[in-house]
Amino acid sequence: METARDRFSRLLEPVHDRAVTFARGLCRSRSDGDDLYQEALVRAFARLDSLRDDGAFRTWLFRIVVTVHRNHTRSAFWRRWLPFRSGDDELATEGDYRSHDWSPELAESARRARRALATLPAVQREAIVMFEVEGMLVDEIAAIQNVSISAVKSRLARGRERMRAFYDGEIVAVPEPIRGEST
Amino acid sequence: MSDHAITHDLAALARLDALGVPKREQVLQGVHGDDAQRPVSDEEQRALVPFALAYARLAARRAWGIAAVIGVAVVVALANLPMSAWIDSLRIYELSYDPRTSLWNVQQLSMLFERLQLLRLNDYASAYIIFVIGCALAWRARGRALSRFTSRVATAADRVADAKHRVDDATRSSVAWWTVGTAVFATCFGLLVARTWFDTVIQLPRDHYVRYEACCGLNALGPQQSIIVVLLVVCGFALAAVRVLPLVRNADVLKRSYVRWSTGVLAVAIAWWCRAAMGVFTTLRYQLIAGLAIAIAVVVYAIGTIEENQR
Repeated sequence: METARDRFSRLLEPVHDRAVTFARGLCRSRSDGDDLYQEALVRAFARLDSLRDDGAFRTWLFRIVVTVHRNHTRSAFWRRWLPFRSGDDELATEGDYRSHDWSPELAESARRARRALATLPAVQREAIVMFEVEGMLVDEIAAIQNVSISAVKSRLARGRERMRAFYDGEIVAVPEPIRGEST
Repeated sequence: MSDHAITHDLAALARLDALGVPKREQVLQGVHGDDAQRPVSDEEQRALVPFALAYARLAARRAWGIAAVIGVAVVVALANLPMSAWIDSLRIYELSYDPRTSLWNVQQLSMLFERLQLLRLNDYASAYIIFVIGCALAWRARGRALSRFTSRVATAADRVADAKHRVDDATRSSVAWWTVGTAVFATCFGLLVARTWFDTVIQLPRDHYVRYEACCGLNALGPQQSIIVVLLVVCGFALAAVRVLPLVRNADVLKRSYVRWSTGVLAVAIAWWCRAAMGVFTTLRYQLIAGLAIAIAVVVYAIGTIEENQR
C-alpha cells in the first residue's frame, strides 16, 4: 500500500527540477522562488487527495505554484514599505560559481531578464516564464492559468511588448506589485 | 534588436535558475518535517559552518541594535534626570534601611515610592520603559541565540535541510516580540499622556496638581495636544510594525535584522521627537537630546538600508 508521502515523492520526481526553475522565474530572486516552491509543495501535499489523475500532476502542481505566487503578489502591498529589494541574487550558492555554466555575462543577462519580468503583471509574467523559459505549450499554459488559449496568447503578446519597452528604455522603474490581474 | 536580447536573456535566466536546484529529498524533508533523529553525515556537519557564521552575525547585529536602543534610553534618561535627583534617590534608599534592626523603614519607603511615582515617573516613564524593554529584548536575544545555536548543532540533520524555514520561525518569533514590545511601549506612553491630560482637565486637588506642575512639565500639554501626541506615537509605532511584519514571510530576513533594529530605534526616536515637538520637553537641553537621538537613529537607519540594498 503506497502511502501519501511515497505517492507524492514519486509524482514529484519527474517535475521537481522544472517546477523549481518555474518558481524561481516568477519571483524577483532565486531565494524567493525557492520559498514559493516550498510553500506550494506544502499546500500540494496537504491537498494530494484531491488529485484524481496522477498524469495531471504537473499541471496541478504548476497551478498551485501560480496560485501561491498570486497570493504573494496580492499581499505585496505591504512590501512597498520596505526600503530594499530582495532581487538580484542570481547566484545564491557557492556551487553555482563552480559550475561550468556560470559566467559573469550569463549572470548579467539573467539579472536583466529578471528585472524585465518584474515589470510585468503577474499573469503575463507567468505566461512568459511558462512559454519562453519552460517551453510549455499554449494549451497547457491555458490549463494552468485556467483561461482560454486566446487569453494566453494575448498575455504572451502583451508581456513581450512590455518587456520590449523595458529593453528599449521606455520603462525604467519596476512598478509596484499588481493587484488587479489584468490580461 | 530587443526581441533578440529578450530571448537571449530569458535563456540565460533559465540556465542560471536551473543551477543549484535543491534536492528533491531535501525539499520534501521540509514538507514532511521529520527525520530529525538520523545520524549526521560529514557533509551535513560541514554544511553547518555557514549557519554558525550566519548566527554569529545575527547575534552580533542584534547586540548592536539592542545596544543602540539601550544607549538612546540611557542617554535620554540621564539627561532628563538631574544629578541631584539621583543623589536624593540614593539617600532615601539608604535611610530607608535600618542596619541595626535589619528592617525596612516603612515610612521612608513610602516616601521613596511617592517621590518616584508622583514626582519623577511621569516625567521619565518613557525612558524607564524603553530601558526595561531594551533589557528584556537583550535578555531574550541572548537566550535565543544560544539555545538556537546549540540545538542547531545538536540536531543538525534535518535542520540543514530546512534551515531557511527554521530561521523564518525564529525571526517570526523575534518580530512578534518586537511588535509586542513596541505596542506595549506605545500603550504605556499613550496612557501616560492621557493620564496627564485627564489630570489637567479635571484639576486634581491643588497640592497633588502642584507637584505635577513643578516636576513633570507634561502639564504643558493641552487636551488637543495630548490627543495629537498619542495619535502620533501610536501611528509611529503602527508604521514601524507595518514595515516589520512583511519580513516575517521573507526568506532573506536573516540578513535584515540590521534594518529591523534600526527601524525600531527610529520608531523610539520618533516618539521622543513627538514629545519634543509638542513642547513636552520644555528646555532647550531636552530638545537637543531628542534631536540628537533622532539624528542618530536616522543615520543608523540610512546606513542599515544602504547596506542591505547593496547586498
